[in-house]
Amino acid sequence: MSDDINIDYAALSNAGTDDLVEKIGQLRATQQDAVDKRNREYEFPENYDAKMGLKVGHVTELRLFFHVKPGHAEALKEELRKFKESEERNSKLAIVATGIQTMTCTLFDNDTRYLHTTEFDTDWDPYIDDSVPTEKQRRIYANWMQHLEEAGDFGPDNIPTANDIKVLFNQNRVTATAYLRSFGDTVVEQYKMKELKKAFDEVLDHPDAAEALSHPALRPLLDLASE
Amino acid sequence: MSTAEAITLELADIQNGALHPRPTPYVGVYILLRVDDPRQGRQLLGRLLPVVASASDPAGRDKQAWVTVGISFEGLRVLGVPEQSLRTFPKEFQEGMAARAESLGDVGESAPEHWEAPLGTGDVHIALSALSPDTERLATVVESARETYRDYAGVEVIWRQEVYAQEGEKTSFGFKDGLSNPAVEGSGIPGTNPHEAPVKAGEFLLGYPNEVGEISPTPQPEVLGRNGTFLVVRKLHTRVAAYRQYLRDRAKDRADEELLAAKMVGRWTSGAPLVLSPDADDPALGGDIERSNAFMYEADDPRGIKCPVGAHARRMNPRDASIIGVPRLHRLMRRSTSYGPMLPDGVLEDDGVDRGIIFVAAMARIDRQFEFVKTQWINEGLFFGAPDEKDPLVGPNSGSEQFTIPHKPIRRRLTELPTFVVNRGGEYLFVPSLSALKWISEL
Repeated sequence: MSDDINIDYAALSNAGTDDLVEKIGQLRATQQDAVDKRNREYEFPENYDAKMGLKVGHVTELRLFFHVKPGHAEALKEELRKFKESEERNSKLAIVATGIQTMTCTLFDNDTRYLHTTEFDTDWDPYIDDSVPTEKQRRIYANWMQHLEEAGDFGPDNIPTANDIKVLFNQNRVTATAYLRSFGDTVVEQYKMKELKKAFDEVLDHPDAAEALSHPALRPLLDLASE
Repeated sequence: MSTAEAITLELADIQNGALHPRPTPYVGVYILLRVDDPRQGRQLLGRLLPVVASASDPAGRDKQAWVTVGISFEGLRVLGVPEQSLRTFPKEFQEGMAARAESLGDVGESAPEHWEAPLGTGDVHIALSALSPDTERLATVVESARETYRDYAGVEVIWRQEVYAQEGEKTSFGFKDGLSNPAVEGSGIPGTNPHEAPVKAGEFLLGYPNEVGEISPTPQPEVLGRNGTFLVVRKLHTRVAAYRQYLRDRAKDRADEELLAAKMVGRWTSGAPLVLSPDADDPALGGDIERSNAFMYEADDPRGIKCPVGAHARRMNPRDASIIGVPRLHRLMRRSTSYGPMLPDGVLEDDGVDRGIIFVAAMARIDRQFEFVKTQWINEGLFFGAPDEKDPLVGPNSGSEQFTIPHKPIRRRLTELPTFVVNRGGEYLFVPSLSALKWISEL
């Protein structure tokens, strides 16, 4: 199992509610000093729905578990490396259009299994067609799906449709038992925050910044200017 | 599947109302029927066949006037469509709009318990719409439709709504309407935006490849589903006095009032788009259907300085804007009309008269098109980076929402947005091909 978050999911899956709540409490406590609590949101499902995925703020988690076809592990790793480096994936427009915040690709159990983890803005279901709108994009999926047992015959010579991908994901997804993010802001909001910080730094670098920020209307900015 | 090859639409089998823009100007009527006697209901469909114009005859049998026939899921069941065929209809159509109200945001005053009967009750089985450039020709086509059901005691007219273009084809809010529609590949009907490539026919018609290269789920057998489309119909009551008062309370002067109104809509009252005429209305531009749609957002106004990114028109059709998702997968073929008299100019008090829009849109997939637009683009702002903002004009605002207006040097913000549009009810309808109408009539 992936251990990218320091929590024992195998144990939790068999734990009672009290144990789970206690473990979550411990997790929150360990991160308390690292994260501004005012901005932290935490969701635990009261009405567990395995099809929906958990959300923090506007961000949804998706975890897919597959078995790697025997002898295909190295080829799968190579496809994932190509995917990571593709310009199409990394352009700002592509990042905004897909709303994907993170994607983690993990082979585990001696490379016999594959965990595909993404976090993205929006609910996942309405946007599945938008995530693979062209044959070129579906081909990218096909290139790594060809190495997975559950994907059957899909591959470069048998490109899945958007609906095929949706069905495959639905059949192989596992909703997280617990989901913690420090912030639930969207990609576009994060771009705006970065732009604001850059602009504010430019203001602070100006020799007359202190005088300019002394106006009462700018008091909230002045309060942030000391760091 | 490749979609590069040219598509030939079977226009002679497609109802004209599924593809063709409504007349300009227009008068019309929507008639809803309940079928108590399935045999008579099927005979009625057979009689309607000669009345319904096909898309290959866009002028219609009555010179620009035509009748369109839609059938609800319950209507298909009552008319005797076999259960195995009914099960092939998409889930959202089977459930109907009322059952999906909560997820659509049709809550509070827009909830089904407040809808105008018989909308959402299951009694709506067959819907007829008749549209014409004038009352004379409308009377002719309505009479020809009435002839088809007048003798049947087992088919009852349960609702009737007259619609007509206001002066200047404006909505009750005072804005020119029906300005932007996509071209449909293979239809020969031009779109309104010269910068936009025709949308794949499969986005609007069943049985043809869509924008992702697939055939949208098509009811079976093929004769039933192919060349059909789905129609979403909603009666939207507009609170014009409240809207005017809201603007009056927040504007610096009358010119600013017009500007704020335009910023909410994305166009001036004449129809001139803010992207092309950001500072003042341009009636000549608004009246020019080609020029008034010849713009894009990402290319011409990426930050929304001219047309706010959250404006109504930009939400309903984001064109090339940088948003989450692919706008072309969520296009609607809108055929909306207005009902009720205009609130006289300058009146800020509600006169109690019902006025608004009969929202009508055709599409191949209700879930990916109408329901997506309603839930993601109207009810939220997450797709363009403002998750907590809803459509300022038609969104389900409740008095606490805001609307950001990008402006140099400092953005403006309207706050405490109330509800300006209330859904008085609606239906999901299937508009069968002419051969499907015949098939049903012969069951």
